[in-house]
Amino acid sequence: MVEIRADEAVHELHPLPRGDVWEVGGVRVKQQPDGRWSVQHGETTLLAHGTRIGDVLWVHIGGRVHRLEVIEAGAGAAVEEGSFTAPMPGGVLEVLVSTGERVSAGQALLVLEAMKMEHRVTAPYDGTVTAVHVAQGDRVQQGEMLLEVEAEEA
Amino acid sequence: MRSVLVANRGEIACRVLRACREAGLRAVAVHAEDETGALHTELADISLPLDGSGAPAYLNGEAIIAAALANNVDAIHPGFGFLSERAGFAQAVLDAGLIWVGPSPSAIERMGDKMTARITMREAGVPVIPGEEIQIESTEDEEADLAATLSAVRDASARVGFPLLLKASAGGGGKGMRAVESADELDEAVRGARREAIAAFGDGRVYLERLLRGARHVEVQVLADAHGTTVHLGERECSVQRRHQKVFEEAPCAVVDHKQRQRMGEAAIAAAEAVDYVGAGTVEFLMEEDGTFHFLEMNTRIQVEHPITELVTGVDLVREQLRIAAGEPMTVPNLDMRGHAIEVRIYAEDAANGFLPSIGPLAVFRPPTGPGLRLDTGVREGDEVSPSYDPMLAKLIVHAPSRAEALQRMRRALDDFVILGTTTNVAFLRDLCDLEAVTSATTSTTTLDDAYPNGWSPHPASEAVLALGAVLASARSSRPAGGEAGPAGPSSPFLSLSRRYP
Repeated sequence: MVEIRADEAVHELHPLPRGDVWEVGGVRVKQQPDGRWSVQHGETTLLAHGTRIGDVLWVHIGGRVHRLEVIEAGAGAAVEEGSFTAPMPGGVLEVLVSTGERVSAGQALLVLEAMKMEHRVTAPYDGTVTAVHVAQGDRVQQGEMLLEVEAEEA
Repeated sequence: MRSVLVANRGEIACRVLRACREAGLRAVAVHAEDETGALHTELADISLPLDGSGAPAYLNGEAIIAAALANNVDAIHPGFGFLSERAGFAQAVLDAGLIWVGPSPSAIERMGDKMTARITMREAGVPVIPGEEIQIESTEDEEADLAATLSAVRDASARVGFPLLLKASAGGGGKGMRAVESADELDEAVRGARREAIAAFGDGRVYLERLLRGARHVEVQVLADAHGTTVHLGERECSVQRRHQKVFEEAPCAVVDHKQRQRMGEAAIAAAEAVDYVGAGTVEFLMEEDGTFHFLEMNTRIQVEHPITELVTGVDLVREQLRIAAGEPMTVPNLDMRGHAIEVRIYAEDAANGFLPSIGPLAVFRPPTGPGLRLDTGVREGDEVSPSYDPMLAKLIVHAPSRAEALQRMRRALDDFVILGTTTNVAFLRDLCDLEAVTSATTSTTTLDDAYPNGWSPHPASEAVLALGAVLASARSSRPAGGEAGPAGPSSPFLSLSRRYP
């Protein structure tokens, strides 16, 4: 059994090897001599590219690319809900909120600078700032925790 | 002129280095310490190392000129970005006795400072966007300058009216620019624009323009040689922009007829002649629905989207740049635009997440092939996309007899473009080809905001996608782990490539 996250949802899948063909539910998957994959679903067979880098699976099929994540058994959720991480490496230009402050959806929380452009991190929901981990002038790495906002009880 | 140094990197360096070799010139590249072995270095006859990594290496004009002088170089081509629009660098190149492939330092200066450009154009009879330049006495004190700017902007905004655009005089590419809907947003916008402009250009002066909603971005390519000939090569429409950066460009503009082309072409030539322009340049206009057009700015260099003009006119713009720089007359025939060309910019960015730049390995990079396609790329499979440089990886350009066929060709090409390992905007670009505004040729600079008010979302993963994902996840864990880095290790593209990709 493997667990895969796609578009925010987690899917439990059971790939079964049958000789050089894998069966996953009603889909048959077979690797081609050139490394690509033929993926047969019902009447349709598509040639796909796929690769795995760390826990990320990249699939290109039918003209579309998809980024999926493998959820390794035993691994906890990588990022806790309500926390905001740096989407890219850069500098903190301005912190616009402080701990304990109530914020509303769409409100700017802080301003990051990367590649000489400003990017604002905004609140996706109404809530309260429970922690601020960075200060103006800090350099942050991609994925570094910036601040935490607890959602308001509906 | 026998040897040309290209002071740039990425796809434009590749484009220019190839043109040099085709012209029988010695092609000299430069590379930063973190770009040894980058694609552009292998297209040159020789690549000279620069000290340092990232953009600062390519911005060190002194080091580049010294390298040129030490290596028998005759001319410097700046590409776009980096040093291309720095008058001081152009002057230093000339002072070193080298040929500058571009317009004079004074032309760069007068067009580069957007406030000066507006004033110059007004005097030359070229219509500019209604607006106002903010002239303040600059002091050493940023607080005082900011206060003076705020007060002057507030006054001017009453005359210009809302909504308006606040722009950095030294700006470009959307940097230091803010759309302001109402007076209460003005102060924060001024602070943000100034801060961004000072960080990017060391110059926080701003001006106001009326925000022309629903207008098209239409620009005219000009070419001028040192023998007194200035011509235009027709227009490009680049209305489809995200964050004021173009992503989808086409030539010709679907709603520009012969007469309108002539009017805009003449205005573009007047703009170029007003600054005694020599070389390739682009005069950008905003065009309203009734055909009224206003000067936006002039880019005094080769432009990212120059290939679409090349495809419909048959003129090799970079080759002409080299010819003009060598003092020869241009070899451009009478304007004859054939068919339709479209370019999309392939960015390493997450279109579903505010177009944030993304990084990672290009584990698989398979561009499409076939008739009527051109790929100008600065990367190839196995490269690593780094946060140190602009996220534009490549440009995909198609040419076909008609606009509809060009769109069909672009859809097919984007479907066939496989990039794995780094998030790119390819799927977003593919969706653009189906937007009503694009298929009906009614694009404007707000098309993307109108089409995706809540942002763009990728197509959901189908059962087939999940099945292949499951196999990829299982196939690897069932394989003997041959010295692979663990999940925490660096994500090398070759972990996955070891599986016999040809």
